[in-house]
Amino acid sequence: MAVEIPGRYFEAHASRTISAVLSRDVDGLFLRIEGRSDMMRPKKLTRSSSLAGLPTKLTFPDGSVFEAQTDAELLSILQEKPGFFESVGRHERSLKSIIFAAAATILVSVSLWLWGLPAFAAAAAWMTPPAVSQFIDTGTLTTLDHTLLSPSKLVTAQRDMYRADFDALAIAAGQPSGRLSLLFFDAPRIGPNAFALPGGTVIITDQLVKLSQSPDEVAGVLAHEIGHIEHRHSLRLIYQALGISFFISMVSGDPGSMIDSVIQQASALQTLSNSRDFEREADHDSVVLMQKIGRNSLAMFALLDRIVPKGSQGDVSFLSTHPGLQERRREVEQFLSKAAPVQ
Amino acid sequence: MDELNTPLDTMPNPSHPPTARHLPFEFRGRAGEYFGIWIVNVLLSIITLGIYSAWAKVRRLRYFYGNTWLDGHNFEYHAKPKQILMGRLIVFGVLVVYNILVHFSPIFGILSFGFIFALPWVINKAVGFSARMTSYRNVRFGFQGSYWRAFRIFLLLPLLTIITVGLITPIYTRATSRYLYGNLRYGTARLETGIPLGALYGNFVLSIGLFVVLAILLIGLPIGTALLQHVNFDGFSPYLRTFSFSIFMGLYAALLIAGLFYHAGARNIVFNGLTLDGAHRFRSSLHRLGYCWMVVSNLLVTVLTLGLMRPWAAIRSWRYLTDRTSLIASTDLSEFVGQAGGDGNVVAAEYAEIELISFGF
Repeated sequence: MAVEIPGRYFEAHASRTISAVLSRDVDGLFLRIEGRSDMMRPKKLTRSSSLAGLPTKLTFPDGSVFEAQTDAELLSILQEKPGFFESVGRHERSLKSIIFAAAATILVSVSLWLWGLPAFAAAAAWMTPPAVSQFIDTGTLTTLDHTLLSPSKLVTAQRDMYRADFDALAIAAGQPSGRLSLLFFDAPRIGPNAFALPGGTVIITDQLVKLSQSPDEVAGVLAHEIGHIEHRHSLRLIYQALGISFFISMVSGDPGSMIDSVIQQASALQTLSNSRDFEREADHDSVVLMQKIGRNSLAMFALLDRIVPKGSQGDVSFLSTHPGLQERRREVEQFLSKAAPVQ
Repeated sequence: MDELNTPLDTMPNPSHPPTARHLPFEFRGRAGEYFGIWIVNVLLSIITLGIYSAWAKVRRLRYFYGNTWLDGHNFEYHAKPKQILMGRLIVFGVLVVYNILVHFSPIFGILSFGFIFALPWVINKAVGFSARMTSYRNVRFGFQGSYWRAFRIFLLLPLLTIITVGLITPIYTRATSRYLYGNLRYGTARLETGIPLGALYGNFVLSIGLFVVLAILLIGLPIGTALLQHVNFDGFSPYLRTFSFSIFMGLYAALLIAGLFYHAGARNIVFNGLTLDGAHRFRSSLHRLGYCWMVVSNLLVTVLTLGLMRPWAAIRSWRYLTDRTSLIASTDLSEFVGQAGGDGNVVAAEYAEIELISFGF
């Protein structure tokens, strides 16, 4: 007795429902459609991939569709083997597989977030050709030049002195000569500050220099910025942010309303945490470099004390890009006391 | 003779005999069943670095559409995973190139003007693609937009709405609904939109009222605590930062919830004014506060479980909407025929999804 599968038949692009039966005989697959005397013998068909108990639909080349009432024995009538999505479907329904998948997802997600993404960002930063980082520098400088920076008002002699310190620190850091450059700008809207661009440009504002009371203080800040460039921190932050958004958009699929803004906030917090780690790294570098050229590595903190208003030094939260000043000073002092003094 | 399943409104319809049937939409999906699909989707997407996400999207939409039943037939989603993947890769590539160019020189920011002028085309093609990939009883939906109308409605009208501080929001709602539903097709059949502006404004006024009430409640809390603790507000008190932050968050939350309230009410008004093929009416009976609660509780539950309850939330919200939507059909719905063409553009559709432009049918 040949297996018969009842179902509904739709002609191409038409909503009218017709009863039909699918079966197979010696000449192959056939479809008996109500109201038609001759049977339809489809040469080709496309089967909708199986999904959690939804009725399977067979689409024929002319655009007509047969919706099978039951999936039992459908595969055998079609003489098809269970495909990839049949096994995916089995896993989707098996409690053991679901528990495993949930555990695996949590494990993989957490390790990617905490370790995989930072590692990828570091690797990408190391592989970025210098020409690319220099292009980023040029672009950023052009923007800043037109908006927040004006030509420096410091005298040439002063700038030359700091440049000499800078070059000494660059050599101590093992940077090929000419790779790093130091630029001075008057930046009343930024105030006392210094920052390092990915391609090796360090920018320092007149306001920071004016606030300093000794060359060691400025040199310490320069060493800190060179540390950032050494470890490619800005590039890594850029890649980490890119990685996070890629990861989230590719994976979450349908996050639902407002979840995406929640995820954005979470990733912003994570970036701040990474940036605090980078600041600590740069502090260490500053100490090492200053010691190599025989200068006072703690001087920098006196300058920072003057920049940061007294009242808010204790208020360091997960919203800060830098660890608190007290904490930074303490860590550096600990580092100094542990390292055996070079005699 | 056909029978009346439920007593209906008394609107006379001279061209059709009163044999109308009340057909509620029915969702047969279940959270437990969907969780399996969802978690396998997520795991495979991560492992394949996002490639599987195209297959995951198709499976997800086929599950939701396929479990939505009307008059004994379900809906279907027809997009092929490979075309979705292509669309996503192209959008990803374009965004990466754009970001790199902007990093080289901010002059390339001019390209964003190009994006703005492409927006009406993107919207038309994205809606066209989603419509074309959806079918009911083997007849596909479709969308026939026009660039300049989309330009006026999605670029100029929002500007005007902002300028008038949101006072013409109901006008904006009506214009976008008319454009989207009025140009939607089911096969060759069209939709007529009869959207009463008065009802929309009534809904709008109520939403503003809700906003005021919520704002008072949510701002009152930080202010009350501050007064009770006799906080000193001068200088760089770190408490000031937390305080202003919580005021801001309170206002933002009040605005979001009032927005949800408005959206539910508008959806009811719009759907109740829709007529398919001149013969079939829609009914939407969302409970506005219930809808707000559903969305907010879904968000809280999802965040508190670090996303693991997302499948439950997705099923719950889809069910909420389908349970309260129905069709008043005056025939047996077998008279529809499709038409070829107007396939929309998958790249536009994926770009729209990535930029989270959604029209919330």
